[in-house]
Amino acid sequence: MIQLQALSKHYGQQVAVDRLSLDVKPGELFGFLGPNGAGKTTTIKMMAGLLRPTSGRIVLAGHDLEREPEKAKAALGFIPDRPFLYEKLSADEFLQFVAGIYGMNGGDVTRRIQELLDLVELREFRGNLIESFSHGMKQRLVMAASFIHEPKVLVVDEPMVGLDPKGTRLIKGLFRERCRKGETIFMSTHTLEVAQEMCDRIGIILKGQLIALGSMDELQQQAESKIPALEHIFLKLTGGDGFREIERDPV
Amino acid sequence: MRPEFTPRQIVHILTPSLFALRNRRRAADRVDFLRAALFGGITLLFSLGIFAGFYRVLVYIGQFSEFTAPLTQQILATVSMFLFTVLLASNVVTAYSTQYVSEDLSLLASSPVPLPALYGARFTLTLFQSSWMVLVFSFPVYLAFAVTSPAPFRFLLAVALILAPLLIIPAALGTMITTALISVFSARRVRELLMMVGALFVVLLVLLIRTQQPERLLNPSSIYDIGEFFSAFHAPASPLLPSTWATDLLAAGRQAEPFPWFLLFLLYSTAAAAVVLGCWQARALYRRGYSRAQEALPARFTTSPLVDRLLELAARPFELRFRSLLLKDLKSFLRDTTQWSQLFLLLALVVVYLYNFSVLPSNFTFATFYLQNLFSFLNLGLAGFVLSAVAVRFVFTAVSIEGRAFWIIRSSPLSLRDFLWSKFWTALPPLLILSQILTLVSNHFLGASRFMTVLASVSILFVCFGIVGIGVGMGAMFPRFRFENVTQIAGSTGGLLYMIVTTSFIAVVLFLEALPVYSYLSAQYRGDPLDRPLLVTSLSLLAVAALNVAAVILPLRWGQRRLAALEI
Repeated sequence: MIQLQALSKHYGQQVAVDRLSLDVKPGELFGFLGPNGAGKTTTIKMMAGLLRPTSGRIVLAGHDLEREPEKAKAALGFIPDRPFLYEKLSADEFLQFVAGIYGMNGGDVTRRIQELLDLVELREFRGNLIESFSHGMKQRLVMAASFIHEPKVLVVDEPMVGLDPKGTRLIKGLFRERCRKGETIFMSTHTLEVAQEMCDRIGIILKGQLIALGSMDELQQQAESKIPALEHIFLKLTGGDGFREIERDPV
Repeated sequence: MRPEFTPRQIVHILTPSLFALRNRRRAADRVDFLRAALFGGITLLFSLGIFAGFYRVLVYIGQFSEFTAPLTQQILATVSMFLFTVLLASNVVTAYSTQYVSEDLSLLASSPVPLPALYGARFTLTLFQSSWMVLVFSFPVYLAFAVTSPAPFRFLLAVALILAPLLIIPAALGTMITTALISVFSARRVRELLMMVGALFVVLLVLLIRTQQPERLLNPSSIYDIGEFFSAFHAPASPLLPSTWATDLLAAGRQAEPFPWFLLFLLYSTAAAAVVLGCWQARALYRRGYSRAQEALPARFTTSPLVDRLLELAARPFELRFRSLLLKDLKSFLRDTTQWSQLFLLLALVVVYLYNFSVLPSNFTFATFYLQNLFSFLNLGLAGFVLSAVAVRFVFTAVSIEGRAFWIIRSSPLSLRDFLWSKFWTALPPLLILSQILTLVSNHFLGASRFMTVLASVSILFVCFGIVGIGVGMGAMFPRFRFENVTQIAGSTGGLLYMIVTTSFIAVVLFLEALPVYSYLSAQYRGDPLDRPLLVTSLSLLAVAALNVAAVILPLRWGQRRLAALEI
């Protein structure tokens, strides 16, 4: 469902993503981890069409993002890490707008918007302007917007940032539900507990290169770790001071 | 006893602003220098114009010895009052930003910085930010007074003496007004209020100045015109106003009379008292006001279900994606006070433009056939320029106005081509209507021939397409998605380039039409056959139409490429 083929992104001399290749299957919830500056957001922005790769290919739901951008994007739902929205629209109007640019219209859309507002628990705020929303409310609204056209692929950058425990639980439930329905989710996160709990497979990126890929068990083997905790595996694979600290004091 | 705060703390709080200024200069590239040179050049030209205008009036007044002193004092009083009012308004707006909504305030407000030190530092910042421009443009005015004065150095000394308190008093009052407003309303309400009142203030000022016909001052036929002009702005010369004290000091300096030292003492003591009062007020209200400034209350003046319903009905016939973008843009525009309040300025521009034609000398309509048509033809260029000025604010900004929410468009299946064309078709109709109002009404006042009226109407119709195409295209080539106020987009380098490009574009249109129109009018005047000149005029109109097609398609294509390559 998602294919990244030798994907690279250079900023001048600096290589942000280096020949990254991945294949994510339908219905899979894929976790994309890495330390700060590893290339996660750059990869995700390339998948959302916000950045152009220096080389390589991105195929979403069978459509090459470079050759058939409209078809690829029609299959894509994108949730960025920071929810910048049209502040002067109400939640209802914003969802109408998003439905419109995805070519959706009519009574079904109105019904769908009500369902989604219920789903993200924003129904009572639907007439309020977005400028009065908190970060968490905006994040939930972006999620509703990304679900509106029933995308086959959902690309999510740091979904849990700024969410309260209730919001986090809501998102986890929503993601599981969508994967059950066959949607593919590609999620970058720093919240390792969430990744361990939710993801079918995890990819770890470091300095733009994919250094580990697989299920929790496979990652544990690759890291030659005796502790089945993603935090330990992650720090061991990515190295640095963090790992030396937990080696000294595993508790 | 240890003082509560020290001046050193104030300087320390100001260091990030100073470092930012220094770093910006260090990081400046060629484009920055070019931009600075361009703005510097424009400022210099403008200052020279101000100097020349005042110099001419003052020299003229100097010829009438019995009127010189009272008239000069009246002009000085008007200038002082004007500066004081502008400074006060500017400080109210600046203090809103520097004292309450600046992003670095959260760090300062949560640190153990004593409140008077924080107030002192932010007050200094407000003073500089709001006063430098007024200072720059008041310099040529005072220079004109100095060089026409019998005691130029004494006058300049008076200016130097009054300057500090004349800047500090409105800064302290402006800060106090903002603090009082924010302690009653929320920051967002205050912002809306300031934008509306600010726009109305500028409009009234422009209309007041224009309806007094300042051109009379440059070509004075009577000394009474000058007196009449300035009495229209008659400053309330209350002895309690700091601007009156400043005027008296300046007048004394100009006439080489002894300085009224008591007034100078009043100015300085008032300035000191205003700062202390401001500090006391800040102690009592700042924390509460800052807390209120964080509250995100919904806008009050900007939503109307009736307007929304009307917009939705009006947009219903359009294609779905275009309709969605159109509704989003219109609703965002009408709900943002910083945007719709600019319509007041647009209205003032149109009124002043048409008023200029309505006050042409009464015998103008009897002017020669040649002169009438020449004016009508040149009016085409002027109308084009006015449309460009409107477009830089409302069309050039159309792409950037998406702001940081542009990711929604980029990650959606909406193509950039459709996005830009949607912006084009949204901006075109209002500009077309405006263009027709400008040309038809002004040609009516000019008494232009039917041929010229039709030609101007058709030409400006074509030009509108070009202006909008270049506007949307260049807006996409020079997008600025991070801004605090929409006016920053129009005032950017891209906006300036847009004005240069559209002015050149209008000049080319005039060039293409000049000779054919001249030959047609000459033939008509001489009574020669009109077939050939009419054919040439039609061909030139075709060339103008072709030029405008290119001015629509090419910038939109380049803008599309630039946006596609843009990394957000």
